[in-house]
Amino acid sequence: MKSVRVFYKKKGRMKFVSHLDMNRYFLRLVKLAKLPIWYTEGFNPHPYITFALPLSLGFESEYEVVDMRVEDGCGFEEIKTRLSQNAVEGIEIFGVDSPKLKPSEILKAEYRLEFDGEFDTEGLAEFLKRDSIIAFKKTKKGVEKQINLGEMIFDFDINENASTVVEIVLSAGESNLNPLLLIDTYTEMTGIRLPEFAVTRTKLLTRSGELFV
Amino acid sequence: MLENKEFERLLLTVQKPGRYSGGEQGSIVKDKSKVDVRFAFCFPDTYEIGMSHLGMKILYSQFNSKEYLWCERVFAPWLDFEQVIRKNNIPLFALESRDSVSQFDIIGFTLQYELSYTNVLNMLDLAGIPLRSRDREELFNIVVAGGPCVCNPEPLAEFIDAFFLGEGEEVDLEFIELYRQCRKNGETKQEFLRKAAKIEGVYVPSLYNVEYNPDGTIAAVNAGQGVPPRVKKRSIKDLDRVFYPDNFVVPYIDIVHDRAVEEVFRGCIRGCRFCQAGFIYRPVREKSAEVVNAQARALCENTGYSDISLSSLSTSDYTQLEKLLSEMLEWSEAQKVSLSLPSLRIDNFSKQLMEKVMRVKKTGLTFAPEAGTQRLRDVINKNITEQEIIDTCRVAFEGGYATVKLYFMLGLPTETDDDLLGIAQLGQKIVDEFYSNPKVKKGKGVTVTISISTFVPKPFTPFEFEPQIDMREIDRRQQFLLKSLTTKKIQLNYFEAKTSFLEGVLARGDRRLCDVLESAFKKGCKFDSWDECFSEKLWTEAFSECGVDPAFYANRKREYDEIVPWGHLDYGVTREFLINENKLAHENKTTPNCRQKCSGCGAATYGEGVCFEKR
Repeated sequence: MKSVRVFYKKKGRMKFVSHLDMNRYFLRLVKLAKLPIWYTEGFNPHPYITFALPLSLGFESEYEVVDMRVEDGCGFEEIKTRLSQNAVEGIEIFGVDSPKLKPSEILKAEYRLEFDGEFDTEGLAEFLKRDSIIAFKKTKKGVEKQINLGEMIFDFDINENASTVVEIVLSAGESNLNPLLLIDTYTEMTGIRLPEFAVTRTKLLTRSGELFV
Repeated sequence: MLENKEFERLLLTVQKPGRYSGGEQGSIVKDKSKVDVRFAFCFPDTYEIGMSHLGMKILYSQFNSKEYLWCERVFAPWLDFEQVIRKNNIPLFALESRDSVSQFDIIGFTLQYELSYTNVLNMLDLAGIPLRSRDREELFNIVVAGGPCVCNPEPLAEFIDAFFLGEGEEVDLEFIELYRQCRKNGETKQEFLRKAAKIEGVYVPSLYNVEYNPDGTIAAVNAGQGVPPRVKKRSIKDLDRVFYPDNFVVPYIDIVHDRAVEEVFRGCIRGCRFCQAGFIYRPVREKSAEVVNAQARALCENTGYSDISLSSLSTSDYTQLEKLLSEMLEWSEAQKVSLSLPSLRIDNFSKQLMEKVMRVKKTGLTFAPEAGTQRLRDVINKNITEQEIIDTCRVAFEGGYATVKLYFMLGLPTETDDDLLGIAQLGQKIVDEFYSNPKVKKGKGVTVTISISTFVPKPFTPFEFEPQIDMREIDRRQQFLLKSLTTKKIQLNYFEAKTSFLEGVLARGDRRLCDVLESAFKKGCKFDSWDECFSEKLWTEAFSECGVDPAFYANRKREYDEIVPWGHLDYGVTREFLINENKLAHENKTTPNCRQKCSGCGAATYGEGVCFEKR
């Protein structure tokens, strides 16, 4: 038995598939691909499949990671080919390898926000540079918790070509900042409504900014 | 249709966008410029329910196996999404192409239960299609319907252009091909429907005229010229050779039955007198074990499902069950696929069978004695004894089960308070069996769940003559039963009785209910089978505004010689047989099942199945 890390993109209509549903989808995909998947031992054997970092419903992604355990004797290339051949449109398998880092080492994620129209990007840039952006986030228990978003923004870049694109690195993992919360907070604090935008997660990164592999 | 980007943004504002996003594994996308006919297969309920339905899976795959035809799926949008699409002027669309339903040649509904009728109207309205058949003049947007409720389609007669009686695999395609021809020849809708009415199994209600007596009963149903006076249902002769899908559309979101389904036979030998399916799908026709096994295996391999269920009205009546299970377990265990067998009967649920089922996965144990006393079980022809029920529970308990679910009906013909007491007593006996059996590991203790639904008399059953008990009496009997329970080990669940009344009205209704349906829909009635949506008040208003007394349909006893609204439809089973069965019921007498003895119900006219087995 060996651990296998699968890298994939999630695009198009697949963005409507929630994290929990992705789990079920991958259980079927490994069956379709006839991978010699390893089953847990015990009363209710089930495959071991775990996602590195959940992705919000509605986001596309260019860098998703799922770990699974496969019986020995099936090489990485073979696994990649079989998964690719069976994956539905919108799921693009681009790499299979042995895991190098632990999922808990993911502490940052890079996103691309593509806006429908133009707006005052300097105003947004000024906002994103602030050290202190106090917002309220509901915890799972329903209590509102005060957090400083300023500490959770690491890097950003705004491009204005055909459309306005914001690339931004945010805190992820144990202290996760959803870009939607960030933009909502901007609107709340400044009264400025930004145009509609689509979100793509582009990278998963470690604390030092290295790509999660 | 809105631009994709905008549309998808709206999707993200509603619950479970996966209901509307499409793009599932196995869904079929064709080039619309290269097909002659586009068919919108509409299920008038939510995605989760519709996607669990086997009939839709079969026809979807079969239709799409034809190059000239593209069949897409449409479901009723849930309340939140309906609001969104109405507000943004988005017409109801099909999941594959996201094109408006109004762009489809044929719009087909499956009628699985009466309480989905308002959803049919709502879906047509959401698509911007006129509700009434007569208001759709072109040979386009032809609205059709199939499914079990079509055995009395009269409450929808004004809305639907053509109904398909019986099983769809043959008749649907004959109809679609005729449509294709008539379109090519530039014929009118009227010309097309007249031709279609000659296809066996196609009922075009606008070609039949209904006359009424002063007392409200039907005086006559007159067929138009050149149209068959009686429409005969279609039945598939050879289930081994009929189309069966080797792949399903596999949803991402959790649906009601999220598994592969393999059909083992159609029809039922039992003849339980309340059960419509048991009569309208006669005669019983089986698939061979080889075919079932091969189809089941292909389905699991092509879908990636790790659960498969063997489907039929009474799976333990499958004559090759033990052989089939042995064959299936050979590959299913190795592939970690678990088998489930719904619809098992108590009397032939053997220990060997249970062991085979349990080798894979332990699931709940559910039985349907339907009535609490032997006398009433004889009335409904549910030929199982109390001893058989207790024996089966014993085997199950010894095998490690500790929860049993029992289904009963309340309000069956001739039911008395003694029969209700019998339900409570039977539950108690099962609890006692658990605790008195030394071989049973006690541990958690036993739970017996008793689910009570209200009996609704249905067309083409021996109880089609019977009155349904009224709401006050239903309430009284429910309370009586509740008070009769003697232990907390028994949990009692009721299905909503108010909806049973409406179901009873629609099930045996006639064309005068079309106005009521439209009025109820306009008042906002939809999803009537959902407790949170059903509005008794709006329905009462609709009935009274249309001057229709619902009790006339639900609570009235029919004489044997009354002309019923479905009298011109022929499902093989004869009226004489139903009358005879009704008489036997009132004498507490049972009828043997089809394998024990032929009772001459009339289904042999189809020349196939159990009617021609050696007994």
